Amino acid sequence: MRNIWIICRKELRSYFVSPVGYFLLVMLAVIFGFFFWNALGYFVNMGMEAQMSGEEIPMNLTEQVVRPLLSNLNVIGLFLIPMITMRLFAEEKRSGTIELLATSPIRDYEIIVGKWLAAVLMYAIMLLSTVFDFLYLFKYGNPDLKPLIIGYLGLLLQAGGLLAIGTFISSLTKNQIIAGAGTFGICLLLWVLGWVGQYETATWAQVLTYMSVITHFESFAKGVIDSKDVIFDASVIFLGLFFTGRSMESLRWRS
Amino acid sequence: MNSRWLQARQTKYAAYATVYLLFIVAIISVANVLANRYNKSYDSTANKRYSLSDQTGKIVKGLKQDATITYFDKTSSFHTAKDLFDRYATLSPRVHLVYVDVDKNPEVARAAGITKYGTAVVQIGAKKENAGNISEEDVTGAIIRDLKTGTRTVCFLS
Repeated sequence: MRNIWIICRKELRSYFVSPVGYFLLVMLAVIFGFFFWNALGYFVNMGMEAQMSGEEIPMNLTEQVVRPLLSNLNVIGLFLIPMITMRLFAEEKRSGTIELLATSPIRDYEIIVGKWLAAVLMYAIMLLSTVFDFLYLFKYGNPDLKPLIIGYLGLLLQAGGLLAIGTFISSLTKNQIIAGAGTFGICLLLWVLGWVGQYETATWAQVLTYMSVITHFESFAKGVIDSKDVIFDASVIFLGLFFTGRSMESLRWRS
Repeated sequence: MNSRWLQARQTKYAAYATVYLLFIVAIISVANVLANRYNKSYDSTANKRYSLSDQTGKIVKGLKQDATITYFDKTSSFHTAKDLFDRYATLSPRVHLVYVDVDKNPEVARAAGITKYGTAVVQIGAKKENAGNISEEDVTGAIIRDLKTGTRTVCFLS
């Protein structure tokens, strides 16, 4: 456990010794700030129109602002996740330090979990920057707190899975661009797999829909925890890290 | 050349790793199939917006035979009913959901006597009931009607 934490701290620090970490943080804060301003403006406008027309339109801050914003945040994450994971192993391979790591007394799983945990913490820090926007809602409105917390839990769980996939892709190449593009491609594919369910009902379409990460985020965004979604996300995390383990192992028998 | 390749250390390790990966993927797949079948939900919304009423819960959890909810609509409109029906399936593994695209399978819809899009039919045993609108009240009502046993006698006085 101590080794995992040492690797994690070293990786996390490396995000902030270069402009990468700050750049990602600022980018997310600006993009999400725009989404937030837009969603809130639309909500306020709808409320004013309803008042002026004298109609009784049900207004719900959680449903009409928080839920779509969490989904937007999820989409932004899709673009940021490859940037977080692309350097994890690719950089070690390029600089030649992977041999040092592989022959060090630290176990493979400690290296993998340490690096993945650093990526998850980096993503969590980025998510934290969006919390300030929501605090603004609590100051002037009365949104439901629990669904918001569950929405963030869903974001973190889903990102954990995608970051594990990114860790695996990064372990396959020494080129960071290939690692980033590969991660983005696979994450995007896992995202859109569910689209087949909109026009096809066969078993294969149901399986593809189930494999789509977005299928498993819908409940979280509503403030509902479904055990199947938690198990799916945990499975993706486990498989991603397990595949990375096999990739690390292959370094020894391929040489 | 071939036998040397087969006996090579790399080939053996690659074969071992492939079998290992397939085995783990199979276990994970089974775990997900089971998780999907026996799903448990926690609704954190203040007014339990995404939960079915206690009354519906009692009826559905008490089902002694399998119930099939068949929804007839266009595939692109299935999502309108999916949210509600999934909540029924979450309550009990005895509830099965079937979605029928009326345009792709008109013969199935005709055999079930469906005349409009967005119709749900609840079947328990041999009994079938039309749920009418897609709401909790109507679907639970159809289940209750299905569960009522015995034949009704109608008497006319003249």
